[in-house]
Amino acid sequence: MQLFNCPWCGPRAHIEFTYIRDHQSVSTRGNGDDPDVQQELDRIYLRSNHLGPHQEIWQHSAGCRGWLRITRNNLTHEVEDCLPCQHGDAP
Amino acid sequence: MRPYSALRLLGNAFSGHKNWPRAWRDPEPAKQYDVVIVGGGGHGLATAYYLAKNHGIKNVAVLEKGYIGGGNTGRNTTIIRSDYYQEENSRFYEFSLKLWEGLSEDLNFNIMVSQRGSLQLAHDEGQWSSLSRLANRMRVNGIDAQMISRDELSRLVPILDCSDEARFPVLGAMRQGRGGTARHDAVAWGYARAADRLGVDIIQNCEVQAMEIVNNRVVALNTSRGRIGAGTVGMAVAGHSSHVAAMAGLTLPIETHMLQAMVSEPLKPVLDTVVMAGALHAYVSQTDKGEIVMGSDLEFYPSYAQRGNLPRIEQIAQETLALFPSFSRLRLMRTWGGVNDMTMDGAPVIGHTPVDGLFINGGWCYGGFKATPGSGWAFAETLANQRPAELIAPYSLERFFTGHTIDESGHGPIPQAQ
Repeated sequence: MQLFNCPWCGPRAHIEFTYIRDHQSVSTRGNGDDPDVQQELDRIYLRSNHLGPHQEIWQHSAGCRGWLRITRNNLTHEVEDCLPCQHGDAP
Repeated sequence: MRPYSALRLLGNAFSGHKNWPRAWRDPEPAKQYDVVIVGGGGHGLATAYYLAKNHGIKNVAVLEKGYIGGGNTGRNTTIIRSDYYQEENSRFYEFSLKLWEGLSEDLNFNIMVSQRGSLQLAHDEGQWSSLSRLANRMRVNGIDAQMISRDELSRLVPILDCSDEARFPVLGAMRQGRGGTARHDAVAWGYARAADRLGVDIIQNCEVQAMEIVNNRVVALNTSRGRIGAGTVGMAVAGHSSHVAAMAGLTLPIETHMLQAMVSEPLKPVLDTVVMAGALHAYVSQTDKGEIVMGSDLEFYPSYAQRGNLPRIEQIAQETLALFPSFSRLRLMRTWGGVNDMTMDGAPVIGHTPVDGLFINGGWCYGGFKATPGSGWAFAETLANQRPAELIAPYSLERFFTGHTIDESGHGPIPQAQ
């Protein structure tokens, strides 16, 4: 069981949370109506999927329902950081 | 090496089965091979076997970082079937199922294919309609499928709770009679032995650590057992595709997720078919040794850990008991986890890569076991001709960028939902 330290609720078991997506696939579109198509396709479909820490978007779906940006190691399940999502992190 | 036969079995019985030779050699890696397959699981071994058998390419090595059968080949729930809706999937998995049907004879190794039928349960009208649509599509494609009522189902699987009081009342099911199971370890061993007999070098404890790429062409692999030159390299490392492909500078449309399964203590034969409940994502069968095999959903977060968490084990148990209340006194014997290449459309990735001479076979999500023979057959053809075989051409890496994704479940680029 992984323990996530929700900034609003304190430490809670991971089953209270829903993994949404890797932060690298979160929209960073800045060109308004004229996005770079290749860049957008890469963002939607490609993942580095490397071994080690990843920044991920999670939701505390069975708790405060807050959106979180969690830095978590996908090999050891070690959680380095559990912060509120920032503006622009929307999945 | 001599083929296995009833006569040899009898002969060896006289010496207490102590004089069987090893099933495949343990060679030192050569300096150079025409084709090097990375990954000694079912897919890699099948590829090597069909390269030698169908295409006469025998200067082949299979590199395995651990031991044969120690990865996902030995961690699945052994189910084989071809009940897919999308044209590309239907064609591919049916081709694979046909290979399964003759595989024991072909490999001279009993892989215990048991076409005991597979059932997809419908718990409501919507699922019944959707499974009817699937069954119709399968029959149009020449694949066996039938819808069976609750009464028939309760005769077919007496221990399944078909009563009105069931936690998830059952309406009926879609049955593919040619579906079933195969002994997963034997598949790895059978392909390994058959490939070895045709001259393929199977090199265990040999981890690829780097790829040598000159002018955008892969020329060699640096491994824990030294440098190995290669004319062509085929990656068959599903679960670990991303970080092996990263050695060649590639980024893939894949996220690695973990799936758990478990078996109970053995009991007398009570379940002679495969039962799957799409609504619960539970699938249950009984092995020839008597254990009840249970599988379920992904853990729903990316992980390379190869071990799961207790909440999912509890869920698998709950789902199984909802279907089969009589299993409530069974004790669990073993649970385990395996890591899956989850792609962005739920279909595999096989074919060429942007690096010359480097081909990929991965992205099997959790449907890789049943694909083993078809995947090996088509990947061998791809490596031999240096271009994608027709059967797997739709599974190219490019499909994500040209709008040709093959999304069986219709979830879009959300790998944990596929």
